[in-house]
Amino acid sequence: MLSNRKRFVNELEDLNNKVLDMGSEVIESFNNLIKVCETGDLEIAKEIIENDKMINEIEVSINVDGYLIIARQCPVASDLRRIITALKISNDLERIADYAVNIAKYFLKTKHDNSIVVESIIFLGKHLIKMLEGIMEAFDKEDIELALLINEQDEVLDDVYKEEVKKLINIGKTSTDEESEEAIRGLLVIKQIERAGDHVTNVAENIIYLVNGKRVELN
Amino acid sequence: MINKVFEINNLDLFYGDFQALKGINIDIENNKVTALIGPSGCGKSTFLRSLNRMNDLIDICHITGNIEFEEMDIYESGYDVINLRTKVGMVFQKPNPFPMSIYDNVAYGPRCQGIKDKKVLNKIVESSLKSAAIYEEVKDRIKDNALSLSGGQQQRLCIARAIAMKPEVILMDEPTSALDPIATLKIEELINDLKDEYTIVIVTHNMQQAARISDYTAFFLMGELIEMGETNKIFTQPTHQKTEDYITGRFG
Repeated sequence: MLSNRKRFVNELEDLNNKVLDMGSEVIESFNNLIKVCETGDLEIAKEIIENDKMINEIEVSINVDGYLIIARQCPVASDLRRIITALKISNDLERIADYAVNIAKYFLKTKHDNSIVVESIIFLGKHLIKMLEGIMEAFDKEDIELALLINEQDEVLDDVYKEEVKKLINIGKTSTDEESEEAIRGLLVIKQIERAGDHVTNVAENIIYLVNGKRVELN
Repeated sequence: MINKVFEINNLDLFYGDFQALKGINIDIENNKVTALIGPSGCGKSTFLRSLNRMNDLIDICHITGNIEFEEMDIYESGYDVINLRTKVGMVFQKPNPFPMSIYDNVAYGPRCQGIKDKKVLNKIVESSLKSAAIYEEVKDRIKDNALSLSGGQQQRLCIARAIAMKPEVILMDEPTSALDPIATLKIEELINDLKDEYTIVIVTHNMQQAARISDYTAFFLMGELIEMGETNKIFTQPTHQKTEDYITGRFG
């Protein structure tokens, strides 16, 4: 028979694994988004929306588990931080996944050929995927150095985003009506990826809190 | 600078050859609740009892270092121990009312101090019972035997008995460990109210109780003070791994 502490540790590990699973699913959503951009296959866009339901379910499950563990075990110190962190990171991951859904919905609704915007999405999206992979690794390994490194990558993402914004504004100013409209809509679309990057920095802040209990404001 | 009521420096305490406390340095802050936690045999109750020299009753017990109460070393020869125990009251694990009426339990201490005036005694008994949040429950049967009260009521009566001596500090040695959750809750609420007027040092095995009611927490292990700090910090980000291991239940 398991001791109470061992059972508690198992519950915490399950919670951790759910966060890692959720992270993998969010990364998968953005990989699919790149595929939509590269192939124009709208079935994949529908998959992203479908996959988001599962991501939301994992978040709910993390919440339910977290509240139950708090109620039953009255956790303290690093145990408590682990649960709070799981709840907060899952909330950020859920928001990040929503941004992929927003872009997928754009592709399903738009009448444009999207040649202008897909280039920007692929560029920014691939950078975001690297950030997501890195931040989930930092969470898994409880690696503050890596979390800080990924946080710096958000500044790079912001710089690239600004460049893409300039490019799209220029197209908006100088092109045909149809291209201008696509460029303007494109601005709204790539903003989603920039926002997703901000949520990655929130995850980095929570990893630092998990490891050493210190609250830092990175973004 | 904190307003400290006790200042303990390099306290070593021995039972014969056995060293129960090793080099303890603690300040106890005025009008705060300080919780002492740690596994059985870690020295926390020994430490608590050394604050009003209850350990004097044990022949083989001796100490080195010093404990200053209001800037006076309480172990200095000639120190007035009776006065110390008046100012530093104590409540024990098991409620221990005297086998006499509720009124007489509370009036016992003041009577020993020579107070005979009935009106004065009445006033002390009433205000002490009120402070201990038991007055409303017993006011109509104040002459009943205290042993007829429930465990939780008996413990609050013992707190009233301590308060009647107008102490500055109340030491509590696991005051709720023999009580049910409702009675425990009442004592915890009482402790919270009492700290406006008194300094409280409490030994508890209930980690959540320490987290709920205390301002400071001191963690003892094998006679040593491992860590002391603000309770909010100890229970969210303790400095020492041993503290972390104990409060999260990894050992003990």
